[in-house]
Amino acid sequence: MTVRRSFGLDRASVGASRKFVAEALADLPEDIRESVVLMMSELATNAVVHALTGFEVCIERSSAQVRVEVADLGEGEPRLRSPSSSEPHGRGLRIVDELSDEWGMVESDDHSGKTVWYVVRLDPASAAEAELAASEGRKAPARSGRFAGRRQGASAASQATKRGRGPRACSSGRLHGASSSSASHRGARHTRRAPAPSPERAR
Amino acid sequence: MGEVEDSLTASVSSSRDSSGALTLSIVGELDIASVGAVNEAIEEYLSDDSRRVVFDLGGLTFMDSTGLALMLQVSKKVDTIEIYNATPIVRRVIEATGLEEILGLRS
Repeated sequence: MTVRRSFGLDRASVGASRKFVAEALADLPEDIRESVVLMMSELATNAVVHALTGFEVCIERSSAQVRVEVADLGEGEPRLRSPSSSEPHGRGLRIVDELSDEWGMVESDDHSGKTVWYVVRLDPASAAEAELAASEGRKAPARSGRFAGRRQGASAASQATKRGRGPRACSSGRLHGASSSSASHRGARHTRRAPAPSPERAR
Repeated sequence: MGEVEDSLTASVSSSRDSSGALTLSIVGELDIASVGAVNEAIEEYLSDDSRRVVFDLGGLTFMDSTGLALMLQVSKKVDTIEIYNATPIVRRVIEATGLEEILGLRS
């Protein structure tokens, strides 16, 4: 399932994007949902405070993982910093690095913006729980292949930038992936790289 | 005692016990949208002789690194800071950044 929504340049957009993510993932175990929501808040804050643009959020959900992409029109890459314990700022991406299984960023071809993404893998128990909920009709899964088709053929990201629209969430190339050091909600897991999403996975 | 409420997402109340410790209770969601109002309220409650600040976060349903920054700033102004009743997501953001000790996170 893939859902997306755009948010304006407004501090209230940060909370609105959290709500969007929380509702889209309402059937996931609370600790996983909370981590995804927290990382959403960090990236939305970066967009609104540093990039100074609105942003688009796209959530790709499969039985194996949740992938969230946040695209904004700001120049420059957010930096993973290591603030000293007394330095108040600079922890946003650190939190993403800590709580995700993988994350990374992609700059659009024409430098008109960037997409920051993160992935949280679902352990078998939580995936089974979600499937059970879906089969019982508690949460109807989206079965449309509408978004999946966009990934086929030429890069949707470059098409988007050619139209002068900047990056679109969930349409970027998979570049510059960073392997996260740990995922604290389930103990450490080390992964090197996300498999490229396939249309099949989105159904 | 006092209360200052942000129109959208967070409010702060305070009390001072006989030992002089200032307890600040934050209710709601602490993020970039609410941090300004929360910070103003805390500034109002903190006095020059505030040495010990206790945060009661039992009613704080969300906090991200913006809230961490605020608490670190408060910790610089006083001798000791402690956090009680942190909800799981607040606990997670503190633990993910390794700030349990410096922010006095209590179980």
